[in-house]
Amino acid sequence: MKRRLNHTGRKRIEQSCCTITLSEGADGVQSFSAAINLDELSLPGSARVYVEAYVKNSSMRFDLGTVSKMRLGGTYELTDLDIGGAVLFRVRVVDESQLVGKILASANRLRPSGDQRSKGRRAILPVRSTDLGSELWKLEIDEDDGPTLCVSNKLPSLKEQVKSDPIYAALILPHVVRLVVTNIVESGESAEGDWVGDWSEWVQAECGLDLARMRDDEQSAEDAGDEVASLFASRHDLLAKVLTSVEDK
Amino acid sequence: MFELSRFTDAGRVEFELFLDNLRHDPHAVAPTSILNDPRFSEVVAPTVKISAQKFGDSFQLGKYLNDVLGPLDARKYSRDVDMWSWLALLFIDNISPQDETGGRASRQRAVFVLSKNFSFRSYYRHAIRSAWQSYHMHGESARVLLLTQTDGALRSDIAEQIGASGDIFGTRAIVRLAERLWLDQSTGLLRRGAGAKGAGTPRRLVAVLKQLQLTFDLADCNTETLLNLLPPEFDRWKSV
Repeated sequence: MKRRLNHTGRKRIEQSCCTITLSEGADGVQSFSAAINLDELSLPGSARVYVEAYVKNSSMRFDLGTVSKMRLGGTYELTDLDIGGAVLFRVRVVDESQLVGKILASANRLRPSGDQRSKGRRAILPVRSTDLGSELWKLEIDEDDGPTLCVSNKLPSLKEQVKSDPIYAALILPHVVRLVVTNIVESGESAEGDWVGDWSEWVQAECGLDLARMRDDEQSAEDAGDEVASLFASRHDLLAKVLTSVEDK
Repeated sequence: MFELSRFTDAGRVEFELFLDNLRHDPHAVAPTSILNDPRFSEVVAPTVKISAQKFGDSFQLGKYLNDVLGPLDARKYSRDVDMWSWLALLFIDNISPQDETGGRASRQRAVFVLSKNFSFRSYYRHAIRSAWQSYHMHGESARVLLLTQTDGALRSDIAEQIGASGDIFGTRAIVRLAERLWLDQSTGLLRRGAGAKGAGTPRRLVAVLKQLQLTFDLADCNTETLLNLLPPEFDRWKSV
């Protein structure tokens, strides 16, 4: 069981405190500007602020000065980032008074403003129709973008049936929920404002369970997945819906 | 010599058909004729000449690719999945060399083909792109990522563990740390036991670093400082 403890009192910078605007020049080079408000975090003025832009494992790091003299309003060119992938950002506030810089506050996986997913309009489980060989469905979990339910494109209606047909939903969705929750608890991730935060909120609303507390209580990831999947199936009466559907047919 | 190219849709299908056949028939013939057939391949602009050759290890391959691809904009071709697949066929003898009977080992699909969505679980396993990118990002230090200790192995556990985590792989100080721990500077080879399981292994290093990254800013650390942050399980590797 992995546990992620915050011994050093590291603070979380909320997405709402960071507005990152991405633009593209005539030469195709992307650049960004950032507006970061750290006023409410009571950070030392001498701590340095870094913004890191990344696409998968290509990344660039920018020094925005110190908390008290942050260089905002500048435009930074992303000349070394891969083209064609979604650009994400990290913000770190670092105390560099010691030999090794200590992170005082951070935000991860920030999306630029204008990205629909930064405004919370993304479904927590997008469904994608794709070639899966002889498999019918598969769950992909991208550490940045979160889970996607992939369904076979060889059954053209499957994508819709997963959403509307109680038999398909009952066969697939509880296990998908189990896999996602297991992944979240196992990884120990707890960032708000990204897909992990969205799923944690959903689990709280749907099942009344707190994933962060499940981690802290040292509940195994598998047990947490089982518990949420069971509550999900029960709450939606999946068995009863399947029985009714079978009888109707 | 070939002109660097990328597969067209037809070329991609043909290559994947070969990979499917290879699973059942080790003697399936690699369709190298499609590499310069305009129905299956289109030349990348600006034109770059590249030759199919067998390298002693992936480090040499990565270095060669960086030399050859130097004139191009790395940001653009880094995610050109059809170009990397084309290169996988060009360098098929490095990925899956023929044995004495002429047969080839079937390997995981991700070793040859990048998924369009760059699935984080597999993209770092592409044998050609990972060789190029490791050298591109880490220069001579990439040796620790690209050498193996087993004949015929494409990737060491060091590369597997570090490559699987984008921010770990992308931190130069961390790759230099791995080099310091597991590369024998006198021979230029991996040290014995570098790929073993248990304490002080690459898997443990990544787990430890991920914890340290929560507290410390490792991006600007020097190797000695990082080394001193490691727990005692790594002590046996610290002596040069």
